[in-house]
Amino acid sequence: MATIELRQVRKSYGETQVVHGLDARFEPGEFVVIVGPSGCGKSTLLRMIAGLESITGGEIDIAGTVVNELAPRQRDVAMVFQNYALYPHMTVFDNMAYSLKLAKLPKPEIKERVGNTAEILGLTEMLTRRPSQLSGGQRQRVAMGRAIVREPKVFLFDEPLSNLDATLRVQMRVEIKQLHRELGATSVFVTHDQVEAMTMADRLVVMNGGLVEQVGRPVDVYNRPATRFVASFIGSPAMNFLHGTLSEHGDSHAVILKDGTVINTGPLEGARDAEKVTLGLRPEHLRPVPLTGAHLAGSIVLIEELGASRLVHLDTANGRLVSNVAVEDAGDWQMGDDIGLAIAPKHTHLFDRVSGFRLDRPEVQETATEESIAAA
Amino acid sequence: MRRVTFDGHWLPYLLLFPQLLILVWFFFWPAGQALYQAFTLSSPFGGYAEWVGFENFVDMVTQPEYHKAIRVTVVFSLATTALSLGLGLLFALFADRVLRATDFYRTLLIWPYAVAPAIAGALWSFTLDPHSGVVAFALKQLFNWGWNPELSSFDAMVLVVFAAAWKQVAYNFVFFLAGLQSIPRAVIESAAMDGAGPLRRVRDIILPLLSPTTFFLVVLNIVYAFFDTFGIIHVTTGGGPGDATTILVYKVFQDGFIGLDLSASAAQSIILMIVVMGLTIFQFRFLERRVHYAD
Repeated sequence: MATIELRQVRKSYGETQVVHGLDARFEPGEFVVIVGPSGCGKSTLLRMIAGLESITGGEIDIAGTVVNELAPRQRDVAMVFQNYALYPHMTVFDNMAYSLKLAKLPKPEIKERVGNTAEILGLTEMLTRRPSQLSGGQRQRVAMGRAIVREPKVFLFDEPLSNLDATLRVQMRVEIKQLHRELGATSVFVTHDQVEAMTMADRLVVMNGGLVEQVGRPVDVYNRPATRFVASFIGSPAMNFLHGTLSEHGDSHAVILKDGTVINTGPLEGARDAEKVTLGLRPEHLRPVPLTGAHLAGSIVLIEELGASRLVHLDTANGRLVSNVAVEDAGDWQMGDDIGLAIAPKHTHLFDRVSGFRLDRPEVQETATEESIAAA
Repeated sequence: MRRVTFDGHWLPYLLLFPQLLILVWFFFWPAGQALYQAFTLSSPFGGYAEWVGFENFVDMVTQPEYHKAIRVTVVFSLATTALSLGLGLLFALFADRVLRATDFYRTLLIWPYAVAPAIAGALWSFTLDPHSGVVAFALKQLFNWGWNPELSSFDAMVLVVFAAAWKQVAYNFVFFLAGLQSIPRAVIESAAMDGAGPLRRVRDIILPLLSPTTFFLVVLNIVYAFFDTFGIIHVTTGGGPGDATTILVYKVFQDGFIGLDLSASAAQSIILMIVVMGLTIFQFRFLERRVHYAD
């Protein structure tokens, strides 16, 4: 169990800076997921923690030791690579035993540890096979076994599931999570898949363009995305965005959309009257209602069937909207039908249009504080 | 795939004709001549030949000079192969770590391959010349070593091995570098994470994964040392001092064109032909059954 601390970590390749002064602290035993679009610097960050990339500036601290100048083997971290990176000329046993042999462990102990690890992962039957004789899922297990057998301080995962098919990916997701619960080592998992990120993380780090946009529990990141980018990246189907202007109504606020529609948002902190904002509405929070009394209305242009729910695409006076409607709430709609949508004030997300930062509601923050007190 | 077929027979033969002509004229005919001469005893100036069966071969294998030439060839080809493979691999490992200007270094390192054997020999003759060469001077000054390939068999062997290996290093380098770059980076990084230092990674991961390339190059380099080094030896030592650097190919030339014993020379050629055929078959067999690591 080890903490990982990043202090003003920077990475540049020549003139181009890809990671800009990152600060973060990962607690012992935490499962941290770093998520972001490709090219956001998340893999580079992971490889810097591993010691495979040099650190241009700042400090990386693992379990109280600054590791900037240490070679990968001196850091006591294990990594699972995207394309498994198994040694093709070695058997499964030798693949898993390699690090232990290098650590000069006695032969019987190597045998025992590899045997135990193989049993946990269901690889006992395959110890004498070569990687080329294994399926994708089995190779992934061997790659994990190679990391587990070392009992390292920290596990690093570099998009380990992206080469697997959808079914296997879901299965491995659960297995990795369970393994983490049993082993309890600090783990950093990099992915571009937001579903993977949401389901696996104890804590989520959302990165974009070499910067951290938000750090938090998945549910907090979902409920209160700190920036417009996080709001658009986390959640599936993606959040709807509409342009509008803020107006004050006593203590409370509302957004006036392009066509004059007024959407109540409840009181906001630090909001200025007439501020230009982006209104974010999650598809799952847009409820279909009769046209009279609807907050928003539009005509149906497309319906996507998901079984349990339907994605209804609407053309409105303010732009295209997607609503995720549960089957029991859905009417017998046809293309071109006009329907109304309603949104609760607590489900509105507001972002400053220039900076992209969230305008928060005070009562939400209170609840969050209560929760964190309860958690502590 | 659609097969292209010809209506008549004359066109394919016409297209093959130039190639066949070259093969027959420059290869099959001389080879046939050699075969004929190997079983006859002919006068140095031609016009007379007597069928002697295997007598030329019996003479050859009982000659101590021939045994010496075999030993010299083995030493020479093994040393040349080891040196040129070793240096080629070393340079490739270095070049693989270079991030910038790789193409520049690669081009520089390939140049020696474009140098003709005789030129390479002349170059090394000058450099290693006992009287005016830089190396001889340096060895004398630094280690008080009287370097002289004109007198010392060992020095002469070192000279021809260096000259022969130098030319081949470039070729090996290209193949090794290509081999290295086909090893997935993540596999090597993974070994680094597992705790292997740079040398350990070379030994445990890189060399085993390079073994198909290495095997191919060993065969190729032996063939080179056996047959393509005539020019180098001819220019540098002329097979001497004595017969210290007379490899089999050089002995064929000496016996045939200097000694004018065409029959003995032809018999030796036949043996070399068999050797080269053996090596070629070996190589083709190997290439077909090439060790393949699918990922």
